[in-house]
Amino acid sequence: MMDFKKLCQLLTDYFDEELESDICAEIDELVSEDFGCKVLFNTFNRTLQLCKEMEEEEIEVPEEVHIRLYEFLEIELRKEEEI
Amino acid sequence: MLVSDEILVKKSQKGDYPSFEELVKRYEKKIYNLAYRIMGNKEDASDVLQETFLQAFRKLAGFKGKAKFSTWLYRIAVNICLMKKRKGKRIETVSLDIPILTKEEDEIKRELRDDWSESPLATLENEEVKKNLSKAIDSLPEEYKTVFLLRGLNGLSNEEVANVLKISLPAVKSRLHRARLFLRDKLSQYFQGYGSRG
Repeated sequence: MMDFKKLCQLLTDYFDEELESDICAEIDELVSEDFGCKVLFNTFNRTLQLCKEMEEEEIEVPEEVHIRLYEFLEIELRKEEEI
Repeated sequence: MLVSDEILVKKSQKGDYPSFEELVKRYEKKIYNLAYRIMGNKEDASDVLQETFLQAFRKLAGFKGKAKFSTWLYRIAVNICLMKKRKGKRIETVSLDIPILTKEEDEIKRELRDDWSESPLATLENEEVKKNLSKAIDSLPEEYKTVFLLRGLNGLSNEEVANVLKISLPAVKSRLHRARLFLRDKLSQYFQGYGSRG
């Protein structure tokens, strides 16, 4: 029997599409009937969307860091070769 | 045609520097982003980036290819981040008991009065939401944060995250779920505060 507690435990599996369809249907039903469950479900889903948007905002490697990395590796790799 | 990581690794193992350079080019941005989110500043992220590829080069001869090169590389980067964090001045102030997990069911239910999910303010264009979410991610305990970031930021599957961190699949799923609940809770607190201010 699906209830608030169970819903709370299954949200990640639900949104990662790792649940059987009958369990998903139970969740959908509960969410449509219970306001608290609906709020938890909706706000959890929105949180995932906001996280996804944030994750998509990739930071560029600053040019000076990029240059420093290659210079550093070249020096270090040369040292390795000499050993 | 794109040369596979496996071929580049094999060539690098034979001392072909351009192949290693290609691997650096492929993963530089991903490692930098991961390091930046874990460490929280550009200076440390830059150090982690350098150290990761240096260690990768030094250990490459011993890489047997049992795991994917990317998995192996992420493991090196995460280990460097965590070591650096332990050595650094920053002391973790967040308890491992994520707040929402210690709450009683009724307590969570009482908080679920407002559905902010449809609010026009619930967008990353809202700088305050962005700042709050970023702060909440940053305040996650390391073991939750690394799972969350590897899964989200680097697009790894649960199985790959388990391999990177050398933890079980159920542990990955559990940490990811707890991290997500924690972030939802933090955003809810923000929106409730916003409502009471308005």
